Parts: sequence; C-alpha cells; structure tokens
Amino acid sequence: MRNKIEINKRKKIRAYISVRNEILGIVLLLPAVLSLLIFKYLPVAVGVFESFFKIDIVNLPGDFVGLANYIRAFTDKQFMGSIFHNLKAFVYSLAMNFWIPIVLAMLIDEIRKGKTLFRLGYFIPACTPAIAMTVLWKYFWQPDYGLANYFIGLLGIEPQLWLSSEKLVYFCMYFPGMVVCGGMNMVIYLAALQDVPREHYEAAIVDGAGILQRVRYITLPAMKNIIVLMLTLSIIGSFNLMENVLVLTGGGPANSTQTMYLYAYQVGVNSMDYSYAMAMTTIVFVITMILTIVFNRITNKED
Amino acid sequence: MAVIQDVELKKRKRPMAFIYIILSIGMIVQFLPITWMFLGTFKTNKELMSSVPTLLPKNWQLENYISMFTKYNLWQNILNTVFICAAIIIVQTATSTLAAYALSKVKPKCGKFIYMFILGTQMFSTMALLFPSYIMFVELDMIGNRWSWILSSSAWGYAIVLYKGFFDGIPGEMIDAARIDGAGTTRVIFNIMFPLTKPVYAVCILNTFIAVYNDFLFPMMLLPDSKDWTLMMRVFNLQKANSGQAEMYTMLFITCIPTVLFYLFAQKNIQEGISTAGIKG
Repeated sequence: MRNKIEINKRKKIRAYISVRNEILGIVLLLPAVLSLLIFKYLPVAVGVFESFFKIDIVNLPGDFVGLANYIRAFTDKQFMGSIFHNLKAFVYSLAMNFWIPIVLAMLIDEIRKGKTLFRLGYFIPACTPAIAMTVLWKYFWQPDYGLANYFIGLLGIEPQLWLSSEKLVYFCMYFPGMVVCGGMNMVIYLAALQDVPREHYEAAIVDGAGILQRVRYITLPAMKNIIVLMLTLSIIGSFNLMENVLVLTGGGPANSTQTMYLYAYQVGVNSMDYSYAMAMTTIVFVITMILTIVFNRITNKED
Repeated sequence: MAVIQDVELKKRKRPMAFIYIILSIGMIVQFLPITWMFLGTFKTNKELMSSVPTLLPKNWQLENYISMFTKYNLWQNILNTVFICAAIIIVQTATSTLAAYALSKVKPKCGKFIYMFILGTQMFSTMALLFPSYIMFVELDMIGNRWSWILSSSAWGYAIVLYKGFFDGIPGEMIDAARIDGAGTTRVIFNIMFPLTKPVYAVCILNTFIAVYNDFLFPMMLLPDSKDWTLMMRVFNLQKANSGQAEMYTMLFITCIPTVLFYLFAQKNIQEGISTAGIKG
C-alpha cells in the first residue's frame, strides 16, 4: 500500500517536472519564434501572395490577376537578360576573385616568421565596409580624372571609359577583389589548412613528390569540402548580387550589369509596381533555393 | 610547416624568399586604396582632380572634416548608428540565446519542429523580404519608426542555430551541478553557457554588427527622414547626389573607422571562433 502511494507521488512529481519543462521551453523559445514568424515568414508569405495581385497600396491586396505577373516576368526581355548578367557576374567572380584567398592562405601558411603580421596585413584592409570601398573605386574608375586612367597612361595605354564601357564594366566590378583579397575568406581557408595532417607531406616527400604535386594531391583534396561550401556561397551570392551594382553602375551601361534583384528593386522603387517586383523576387528566391538544395545534395553525397 | 618542409628549406632558400616577396608586395598593394583615401581627406577637390595626382597633400588642411560635420548632421548619424547597432545586437543576442538554450538543454517536445522552422529562415534573402516588409510596415504605420528596422533585423535564425550547436557541446552534468548549487536558468545562462562560448558570441555579434552597419537599402525605405539616417545611409545618399570627391573621401574614411576598430579588437576571438565554429552564411 505504502509503496503504491510512493510510486503515485513520484509519478505526479515527474509529470509536474515535465510540464514545467515544457512551459519553460516554450517561454524561452517564444520571443525568437515570434520575431522570426512576424519578420521572416510573414513577409515572404505576403510577398508570394501579393505577387498574384495587382497591388493597390491604399486598398490591399488589390485586384487578383492570377499568374499575370509571372507570365510578364518570363516574357520580359530585360528580366530574362538579367539572369544572364547574374551568370556573367558569377563567372567573373570565379575567375578574378574566388581562387585568390585560397592561394593567399596557402602562401601565408607556408612562411615561418611573421605569420601574424601578414595575416593582419591582409585582413585589416578587407574589414572596411563593402559599400564604402565600392564608392571609393567608383572614383578610381572615373574616365576624366580617375586614377585608373592615370596609371594606364603611365604604361602608354589609351584612356578607357571603364564603368561606362560594356566590355570593361565586369572587369571593373571584380578588380577591387583582386587588389584587396584577404578578409574573412582567407581566415576561413587558413583555419581549414591547419587541419591538413602534416605527416602526409612528410610521406609525400619520401615518395619523391614535388611542391606542386603535394599541393595537388594533398592540400587541395583536404580542403575540398570548404572550397565546395565557399563555391556554393559564391553562387548564391552572385544570384543575390545587387547593392554593389546599384552603387557602382546603377545597372548601366545600357543595362549590361542589371542583375535580377537590381531590376526588381528598380521596378519596385521607380515605378512602384510592387506586385511585379515581388513576382520577380519570388522567382529569384525559388532559383536560389533550388540551387542550394542541389548543392547540399551533391556535397552530402560525396561525404 | 606545411607543404614545404624544414628539411628542404635547408637545401634551397629560394622558394621561401619568393613567397615573402609576393606576400610583401601584395600587402603593400592592399593598403594603397585606403591610404589614397585617407590622404585625400586632407586635399582639396581641385588637388584630387588634377591630371598629375600626387600622393601627399600640398598643405594639410582639416577643411573637409569641418565642412562634413557642419554641413550634414553627422553627429546625429553617428548616434543613430550606435543606437541601432546596439539595440539590434542586444535584442538578437538575448532572444537567440534563450531560444538556443531551450533547444539545447530544456528540450521541449516541439523542439525538433521549431529547429526546422528556424533553419528554414536561412533561405530567405534580404531582397525577397524587402518589399513585403515595407508594405507590412506601411500597413502598421511604422514608417519612420526605428523599431521597425531594429525588430526586423534582430530576427536572425542563423545565430540560434550556431549558439545551439555550441550549447550542445557543454555537458549536461555541468548544468545539473550548478542547479544543485542553487542556480536558476538565468544564472546558468550567464555564468556557464555564455563564458564557455565566448568566441562564438564574438563572431556572431561581429557579423550582426557588420550586416547592420552596412545595410542601407531596407532602412532607406523604412526611414525616409534624414534625421534617422545611419552613416551608411548618409554615404549612399551622398554618392547618389554626386558630391565633391574630397568630401566623399572624408565621409568614407569616417565610416571605415568603426569596422576596422571592431575587427582589430575582436581579432583574436574571430580567429578562435572561426577555427572552432567553421563559420558559414
């Protein structure tokens, strides 16, 4: 009898504790969940919902138009062209910016003395705000009085139009990343390099592998995961590209740098056609989501 | 101590010298644009536009700084920046710490679902949120209210995911021991969880600070009045207005100071945080 009462008491206490736990958990989670719900999920839902309407800001949501905004986006030559500009930007960033921090991290990892000095020396200039640097470079590329034309003048080359030239504008966009190439990415690669087992190199030397062979067969395979991850981020980044372009060229010359998001932004801000803008951002959003999922699949499979 | 082994260096010194030369040249080049900008703040517009540019200003004058601070209400902008960054960092750190603690240690039944819910927000890009959030705040009549920006920017799922990952690494026995000693939830978070995960907090807070500091598109829509602007919004508007080069350089230099200082101070924690956390996103 007594035992039973004991057991019942224990059960009650356990139930009480677990209920208390549930409540505590929910109370702790509530602020974060509410803010994510209101400021992330709700706007995305509103955006998708509103993209099926012709917006009337005084009288939301406006008239239902079905898929008209999407059909308009897919038949809009400017929007379709801007997808191509995003891809072009990605190719340029891959060719001009992506590999430099990897090489830099390897070089810094190689030296014996002054590692901290070089790491800081490359890290500090890259800490400056991205938009501030973009504005600064805009002055360098000025055709009349910019430094770029002065320097190529010293080499005896004719002055160029730089940002106003369709041929050079992508080069101008990604050149600053070649000059100032340290920063977060370099630190990440440097951290990844510390995990490469040092004994492998010794073994490779015994086998008679040269320096380049060691890099090719030991260092790069060991860094593969982080490189693939950074590549994924850079693809997503180039699809999300807009602020830099907005400041640097505003989409010009002749819309040759107008990215998808930039076009959506300009449609929204200049012609107040929010529902069309939101239909376009939804399309880009879906594209990047698919890309992310595909890349995650690929990397997970290989692990 | 890596690809090239010490044994080899004794035989051949050339590759190492070559690496040092490349790195040194590269490092000098890194500083050139910033140096040019810094020295430009002491020059006049005329000097900057001359066809043969000189690195050092002819006569050092502080005219640009004085005119920037008198012409535009820069102090107001600086105060706004400090207020908004601080508010967002505090709100975000507080909410995400609580949520991460709940997911990691309290483990309510709905935890798994909520974790997926939080992970899902990482897919949303700022541009996808820009116009709908704007319309939402117009409806709520919160345009011109700073809290619209503060609240919407402090919702960041990644911080919760990151903190949770690190809280998971702290053994539950430690918390039980503290509980037996009479510590409540607040004390557990402040005296155990927080000190043990400092580098992660440093990285997270720094990321938030940089993101908020650099943001101008969304706040430009939310806060149209120039008395609410932050430094970066001022930069964006000045460059749109095509103001003089010397003034612009001064403005840019002023905006560069806080981020560089912030990075310098947090430098050690960042390195530590990245090598332990493996930052992404």
